[in-house]
Amino acid sequence: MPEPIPPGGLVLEGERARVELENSCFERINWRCTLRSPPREPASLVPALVSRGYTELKRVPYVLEVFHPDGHRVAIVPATGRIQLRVAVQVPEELRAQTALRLAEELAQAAEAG
Amino acid sequence: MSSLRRYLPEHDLMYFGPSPAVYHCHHFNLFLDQTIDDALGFEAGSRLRFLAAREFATPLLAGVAEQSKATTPAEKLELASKLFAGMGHGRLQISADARGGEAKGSFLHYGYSWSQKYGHVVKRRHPADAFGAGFAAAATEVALGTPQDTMTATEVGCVALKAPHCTFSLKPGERAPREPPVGESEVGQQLIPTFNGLYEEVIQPITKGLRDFTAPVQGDERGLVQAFGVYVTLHLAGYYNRISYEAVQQVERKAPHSLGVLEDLLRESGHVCVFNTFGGIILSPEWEGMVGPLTGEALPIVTGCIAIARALGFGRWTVAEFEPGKRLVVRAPCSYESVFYQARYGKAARPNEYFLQGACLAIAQLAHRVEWKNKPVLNADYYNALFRGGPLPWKVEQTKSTACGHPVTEVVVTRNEAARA
Repeated sequence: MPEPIPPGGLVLEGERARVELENSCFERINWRCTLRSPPREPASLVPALVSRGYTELKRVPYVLEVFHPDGHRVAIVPATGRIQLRVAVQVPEELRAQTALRLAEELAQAAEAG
Repeated sequence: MSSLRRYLPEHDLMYFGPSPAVYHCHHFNLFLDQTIDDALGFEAGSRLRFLAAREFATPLLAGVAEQSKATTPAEKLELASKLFAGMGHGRLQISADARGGEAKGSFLHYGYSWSQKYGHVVKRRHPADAFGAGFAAAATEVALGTPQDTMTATEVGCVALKAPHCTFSLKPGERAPREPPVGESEVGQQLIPTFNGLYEEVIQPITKGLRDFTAPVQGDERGLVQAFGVYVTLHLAGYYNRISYEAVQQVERKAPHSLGVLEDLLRESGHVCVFNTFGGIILSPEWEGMVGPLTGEALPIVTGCIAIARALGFGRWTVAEFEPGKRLVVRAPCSYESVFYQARYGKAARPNEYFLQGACLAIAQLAHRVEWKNKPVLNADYYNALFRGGPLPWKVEQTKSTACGHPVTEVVVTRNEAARA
């Protein structure tokens, strides 16, 4: 079992991004992702990620979603640029924070290359 | 799954297959079950919860089996497992014949979420999955065509008691007394003409957007729906209503001096729901995309909460009056509580939509006391600070109920001047 979530939450800093455990996510699945160099158009992340093997899921227009081949999901709010990473539940809970940070770094690379 | 979900759009009630249904989260589900057990004791409480689950799962399973053209027992049991998982209740595999059998559960909503929420701090002494037990019994009866209301199910292993899986023993038993049904036609008979309130131009599009978003949602590989920071279930409204109102009736008969405490706890279930589920939705990316960033004003929280209530199938809650910092009046032509009460018990002696009462008070609290722009974490400490840290700054009164024959249901939330002092 991983260490309990501290009252102040969980934040991991990466080279190109930081991830912060989202509201009340006791399973460490949902992480708010902040890119150090965000793209001017948040929606441009979608084709950049699709070109890296992600699949776009079209559900509602106000939140864009893409699936990682391993089952992780990325939700992007085009109007505000908010990004939420949703780590696949198959990932053991103690590895979810590092998985989220790795995904965030991937996103940052895609944004810079895209 | 999504084709089974239907709304009565003018009343904002929901059906799943033939059954009145609502969405509720694990915080609410665990709190309400615990309230019933606290009121009646575990034996009587879990018995009532089992009976309610079996009663209301039966028409769902029978109706969906008929609609899906499932005819053999194996097909019907497989369908039951899919429905259970699709509704976010976990994985349930039933192996039974007319003499009984066994059901195995993994990631069952009640037991698993209890373990997640309390398992590291509380030692539980009784199994948690009376709903799963009732569902398994109903599925067995429907699949095998055995007499209705006779199959029993006992949870003999539960993850909330540190067992690796949940296990149920199924056995035929004595037929339980049959209660008057509360299905679509009975609910329909209780409905009065609907109406709108203030801010409908804001509320209705949000409700529609939330419904569009939730329509395809179903259980993940575990049979759980993890969204908005909670485990969400698509649940049978009859289950909630029967356990709540029968507990009230039993306490009225056996321990009337305790009735006020039970009613307060049933109201508090509304606080728990609004804080966790409504709050989780409001903080989600989906909300931010649909409604926009949170402003910190009270009105958008009030209108947003009313829209959420409608999307979750709670009924056409409307804003009749809102004076920030002072007063909130919510009116409705019905709620999922009122239509059940009328259909099963007839006219109520006094307004008794407990969940609605608590939810309206919690909406006022969320609108005025939560600093949404600071991205608050909606955890137990924050809940306790908001709702249990002394007298609440609001008081709630249900002044009218359609269950009493009044033309509307009305809940009035006002400042609690005693708390202010």
